[in-house]
Amino acid sequence: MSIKMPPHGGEPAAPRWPTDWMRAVLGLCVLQSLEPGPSYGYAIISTLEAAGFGTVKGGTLYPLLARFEAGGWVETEWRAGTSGPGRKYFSLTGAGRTELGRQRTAWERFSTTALTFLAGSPTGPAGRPEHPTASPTPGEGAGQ
Amino acid sequence: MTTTKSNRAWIDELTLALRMRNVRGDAIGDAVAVVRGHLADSGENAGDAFGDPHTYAAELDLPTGPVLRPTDPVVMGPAVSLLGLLVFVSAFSALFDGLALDFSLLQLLLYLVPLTVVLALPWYFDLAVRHLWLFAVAFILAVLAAAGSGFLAPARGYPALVSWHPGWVAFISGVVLLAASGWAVLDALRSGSDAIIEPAGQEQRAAGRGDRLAAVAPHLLIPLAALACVAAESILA
Repeated sequence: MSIKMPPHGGEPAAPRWPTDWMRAVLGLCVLQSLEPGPSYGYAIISTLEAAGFGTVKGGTLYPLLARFEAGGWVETEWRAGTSGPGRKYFSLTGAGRTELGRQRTAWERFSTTALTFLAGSPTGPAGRPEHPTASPTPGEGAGQ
Repeated sequence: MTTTKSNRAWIDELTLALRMRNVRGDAIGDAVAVVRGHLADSGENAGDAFGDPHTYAAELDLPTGPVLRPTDPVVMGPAVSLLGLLVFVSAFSALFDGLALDFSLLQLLLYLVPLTVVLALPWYFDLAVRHLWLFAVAFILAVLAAAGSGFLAPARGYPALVSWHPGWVAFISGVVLLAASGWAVLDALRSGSDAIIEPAGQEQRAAGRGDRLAAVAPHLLIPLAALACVAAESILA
């Protein structure tokens, strides 16, 4: 599995992460992008892009947000646009914040486990998480 | 709002894909408004941003409306009404010509075809929804049988098995026709047209008079056909 970097010099563009990695982490990162406050689809994509995740397609993001809404993790509100179509704003619900906290903790434990292992010192049975997984994302995971 | 021609075509295709999945009109409006807003923000092409509209429609997994059943007024109403029309036309024609309404055995047997097509609807409806050509075959069979029965009438030399007064048959079939169509019209008015309504700040298209008329109009066609039959007979007479 290789990570493609741009061939040209100058401002380094975001690498294209393997789809499997993005699928695994995208839901958590979308929830995280909503933690500061309500946001809309294109702003979420821009936030993720600025954070180095590359460009997430609308065809990937909105179905994920729809599953979050159906699962009660986000709620939505339409706000009229000043010069153009209105925007659908997404915000975390209480359940969404709880889920974000749970997934973030689980991900930190997982990434620590992976990094420790990759560093050549596997943690062994004692290092295994007591609660290995967070609640599953409503529906399936999302790809880039 | 600037929406390119290809984006409009993509949105039309998405709307169709969501309709085919029986997604409610308000949910379709919401999905379409999201796409429009995203395209306006990003300046992207809809195909690049969202991929194939049918795949996108499937991945959205939006809430769907109630599943259509064969006994619903929107299905059974027009079917029974059509059956009433077939009988009404024959009876009214005989009434105007001052003839008795005679039927041969073969003629009555052929009339069983459209009757079976209508009454058996609950048993083949689900299959026909998945294979729409089955509806076309059923309709053609019913029409051919009804039309063909005219060639087997006692007037063409076939022995009459029954002889009814055309006035009563026209009256009863007319009442059945109107009752079935009225049932479907009332249901259409009650349940509305499930118009695509985009959320606030978007192009509002609430269910107005035009939408109600569009929902009701198909159910008025059969009574209008009966009326045309009466008018034609009157003019010819």
